[in-house]
Amino acid sequence: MTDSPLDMSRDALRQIDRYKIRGKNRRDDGEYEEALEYFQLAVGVAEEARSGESDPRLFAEELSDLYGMMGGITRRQGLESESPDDRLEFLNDSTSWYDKGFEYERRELGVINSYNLVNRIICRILVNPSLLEDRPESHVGDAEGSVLGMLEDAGDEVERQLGGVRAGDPWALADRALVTMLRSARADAAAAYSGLVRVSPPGYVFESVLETLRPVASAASEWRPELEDAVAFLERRIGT
Amino acid sequence: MSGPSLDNLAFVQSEFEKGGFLVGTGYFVRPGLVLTARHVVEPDEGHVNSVRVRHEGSAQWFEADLQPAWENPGIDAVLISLGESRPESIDPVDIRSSTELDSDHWESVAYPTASAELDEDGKPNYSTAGLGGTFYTLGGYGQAERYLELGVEHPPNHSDGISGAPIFVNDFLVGLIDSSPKDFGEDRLHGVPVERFVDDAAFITAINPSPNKVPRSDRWYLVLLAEKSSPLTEKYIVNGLDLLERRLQNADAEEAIKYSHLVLRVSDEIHSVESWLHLVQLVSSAPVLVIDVTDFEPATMIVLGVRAVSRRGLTVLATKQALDQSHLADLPFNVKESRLVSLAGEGGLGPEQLRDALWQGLVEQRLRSDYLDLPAYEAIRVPRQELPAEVLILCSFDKSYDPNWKCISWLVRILLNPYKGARVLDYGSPRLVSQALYEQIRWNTRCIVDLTGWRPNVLFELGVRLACSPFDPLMLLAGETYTPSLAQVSSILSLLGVTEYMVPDSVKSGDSDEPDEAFLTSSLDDAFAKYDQRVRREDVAKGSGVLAPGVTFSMVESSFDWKQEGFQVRPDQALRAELSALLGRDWERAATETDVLFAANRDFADAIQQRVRETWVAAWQYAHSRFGRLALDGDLEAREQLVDLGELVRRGLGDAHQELSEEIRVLIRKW
Repeated sequence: MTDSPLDMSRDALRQIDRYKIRGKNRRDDGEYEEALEYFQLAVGVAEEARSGESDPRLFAEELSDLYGMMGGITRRQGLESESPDDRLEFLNDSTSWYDKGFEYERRELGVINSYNLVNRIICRILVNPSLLEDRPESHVGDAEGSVLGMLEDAGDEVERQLGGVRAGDPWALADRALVTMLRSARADAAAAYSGLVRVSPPGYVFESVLETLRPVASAASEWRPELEDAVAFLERRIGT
Repeated sequence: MSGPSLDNLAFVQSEFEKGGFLVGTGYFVRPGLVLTARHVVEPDEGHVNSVRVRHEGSAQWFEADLQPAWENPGIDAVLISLGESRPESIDPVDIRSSTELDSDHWESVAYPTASAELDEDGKPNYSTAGLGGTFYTLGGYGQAERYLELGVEHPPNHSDGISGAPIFVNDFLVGLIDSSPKDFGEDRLHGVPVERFVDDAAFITAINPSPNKVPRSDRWYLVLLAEKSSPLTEKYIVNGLDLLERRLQNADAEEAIKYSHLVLRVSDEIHSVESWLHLVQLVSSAPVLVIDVTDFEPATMIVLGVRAVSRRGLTVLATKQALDQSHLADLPFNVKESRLVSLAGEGGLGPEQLRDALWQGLVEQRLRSDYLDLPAYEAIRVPRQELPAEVLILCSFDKSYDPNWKCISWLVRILLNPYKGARVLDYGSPRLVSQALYEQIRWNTRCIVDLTGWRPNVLFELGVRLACSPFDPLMLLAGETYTPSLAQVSSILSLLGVTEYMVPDSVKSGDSDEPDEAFLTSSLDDAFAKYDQRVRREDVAKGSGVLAPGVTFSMVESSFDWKQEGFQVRPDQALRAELSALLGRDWERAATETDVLFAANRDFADAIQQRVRETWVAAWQYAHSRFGRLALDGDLEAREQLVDLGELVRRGLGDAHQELSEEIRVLIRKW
């Protein structure tokens, strides 16, 4: 008897897991290109398995996760690049991957997360921090709309998620805090991050948040100087 | 004409792979099935590569299957099968224990000279010879397994060819000849009595093949209807299966599809011992069972209890009733946790609801090694417990049952002394009632089931007991009480050998707390005495048509699909499954986020991390010791296994065990 969709889905999930594990290991070893290759293979399996199904929710979470990780790797490559051209290229790639991940990070697909939602904005800011300035040109943005508009939408969505299944989720609280800091030049770091601090997450949460925050604070220091306050605030929490 | 018939007689010839042959006698007990001595077809002297049977009635030769239709390694008897090519008409044989018959005279027919005389072509001389004599009724007992001791009138000079010859008393087959004792000369023979195998579940089903063939497919469906199931219920269930298969086969509504399913009515399958055993075999082996539990009929609940022991899933309980709060409140205790699927969906959506339930069950079964849809499966699989000297009583807890309880307690105290009767609510432990109940059902050697009131939960527990314990319960039923108006009731009563009792008026009225001696009828006395003998493993004659002790248990045991338990997975795979069970599929995310309950407790989270790391180390150490040498020698499969696991282990170790992580990284890169 031929494999049923149940067996094919299960086999696809197993294969995706295998590629993901390898991709993460290569990423942690600094072998970024090989990591991206594995994630691409995983995406291929997920897309193919999804194409045979009538339920659009199937594999949406996997794709959202995979594209998000690819966005994270290329962002890291960009930030580690010494060449401005390479940096720009990697960060643009990163933006594209996060945008792709965002297509699957939808409530109607059963994926309730803000990883791609927020990181696609971060990458745009890293490429062009002047998009944070509240002037007519900055409302042009790109095909996705202005960065300020995206931040407002992201803030509303994260708030909605925190009011539902992600209540108390430290990652959602960190995203809310970052979006708050980015939306306004007068945001107070301690107030923005008080929610995160209140849930007392483990140290690696603060470390991960700082890993995202530091380059943004550095790139956007002219438009959002309070981000440096946020970095210092969080570093004090983990004693660095 | 009484005694053996030449029309059923068989000459059995086994040929050795290295040349030579062994001969014996057999007897057709059913068309295509020959009973003979096991050592004739599976001798110690060498490997047999061909077994041929000559039917005396037609003088024709037939090839027998090398794989016996039935055998038991501890018994020198075997049923060999002739497959499709067989004699045209064979009269079935009545098999009966010699202890049930009055005569001590036996007779037989065999081929005693076959091994000794060869014709001109070197072939054995298969001439029949009649045999007969008197039983030595005191012989054959003692420490060894029971055998028949046969005094032979006019013993033959040669006896090798008579192994397997039938032993008859009047019209009944009571055993087969298997040896001649060396200490007594040729006028004494030994035989295997039929009571050593006639109640064997596998023997019963071999000589009474089921008309319902188990489909040869990994995915097939068993539908069990109730006695009162309506045609609409059957239609809805079958439609639901059809919808499911269309989804599984990616077929649209108009496409023709094929799949295997069997629809049976439970009440039709419990009319005899053999039909019951066939039903148990199906219930224990069906990958998917949809069962109509509308009104929780007695036979349905017993079968559900058997299913709950034999399979984790997938079992869907369907009902024609719309499920509202009143229905849910009235569910029998044992199935309150199980999900019922109502076929009374609005607008006839019953089949869709069934399809969705089955689909969801199939998905979850694949993802969860701990999937369960019925109670009892895990609860009965507990190690042996030290239990007090009590007889477990499974009965109604209704207030109206109190007088009955007083009578049962009295009977146990008087007839099963020093034991006393105990219901699960009598146990003082604060443990979960369900946990204690199933543990008792499994391990308490002595058990009485009172069917009075025909309570669905009692019937479910009866099914569980029959399936998980070789000690069948003593069955009781109070007379002149409520009895369901169902034909299945008489089948249940005769199959289980239920003994009736009458509660004395003085106990009913409350004038007396216990019955007097008059309550103890001869049938009750006899039932308890035989029950006690059975528990002590003494031979006890049972009534015709009554289940032999432990036969349901042995049927479930032989049908149990142990592979569903994943015993065949490697230790490293089992360790990975353990982590998945603890943390979910994405164990990395679960370990870092708060998917694990109370993981915000820092000490607990650290302990989880430590546990994850040590588990991965253990998995690696096993796999490396198992496959490392092979992988080094270039075995590609071994390398693939180790690379797969190595990648997982590296992720699992994180920053810990850096030396091991690096060692694995180097190995992976090399391969």
